[in-house]
Amino acid sequence: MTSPDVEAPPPGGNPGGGDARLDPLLLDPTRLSIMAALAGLEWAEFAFVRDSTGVTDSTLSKRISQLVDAGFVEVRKGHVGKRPRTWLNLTTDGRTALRAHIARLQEIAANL
Amino acid sequence: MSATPTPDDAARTLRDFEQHRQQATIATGWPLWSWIGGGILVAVLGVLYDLNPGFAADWGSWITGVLLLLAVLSTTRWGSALFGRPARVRRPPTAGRIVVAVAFGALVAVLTLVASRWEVPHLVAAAGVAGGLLMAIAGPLWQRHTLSRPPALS
Repeated sequence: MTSPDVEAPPPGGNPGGGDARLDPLLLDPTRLSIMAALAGLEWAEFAFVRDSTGVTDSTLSKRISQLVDAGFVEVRKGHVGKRPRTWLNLTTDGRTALRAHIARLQEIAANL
Repeated sequence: MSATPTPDDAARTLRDFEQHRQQATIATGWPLWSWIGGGILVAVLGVLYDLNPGFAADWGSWITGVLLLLAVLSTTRWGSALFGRPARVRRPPTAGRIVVAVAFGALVAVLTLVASRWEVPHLVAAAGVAGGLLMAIAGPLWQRHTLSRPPALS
């Protein structure tokens, strides 16, 4: 999945008078798919998340930076042998925000 | 999607979320060959221990140590990467999982005690082959079932 790069709204913000219980940062499908890929995992490699979400390196980097700035994702860098690796993990705040966001989406979808 | 999604949008987003979550989680499983290879290893070790008690005395502690080391390594991100696994499934220890693990350990201990009192010929070889077959056949099915369950977001 690819989508145009967009500016990240402030975490927990409510631009445009939208639903206050939805995190504006997670309304972007790419950011939400990254969070979805990380939801059931512990320390996933950057390349694995890129392949799981179907985005380019640069798109993933930008989205990860936004999620890191919001405190939703943590990043660790290291080496395995001589090859550099980057690992990603959801933070406790990220899991809390994702849980609240998904719960709100379920409420909205229940009105179908 | 606008700031407040419609029920249709929300339902679609939830479907996409679940699809991405499940794809990523299932992709972290051990490959089929590793289950079959592990099953063969367990069966061969059982037969070797049974037919050649000297082998167990000479190599038993080494083999146990190496297997323990590999098991611990596979729980670290560096070790996982070394084994070609780019991510690990998050399974925080819940009370239910601890109870199941303790019950399984107790069952194995009781079965071992009971079996040691029987005079069954080649019991270790039979147990090794049975354990190996169980690992090779039931392992991938159990893994798929476990990985397809929704994760705890807490």
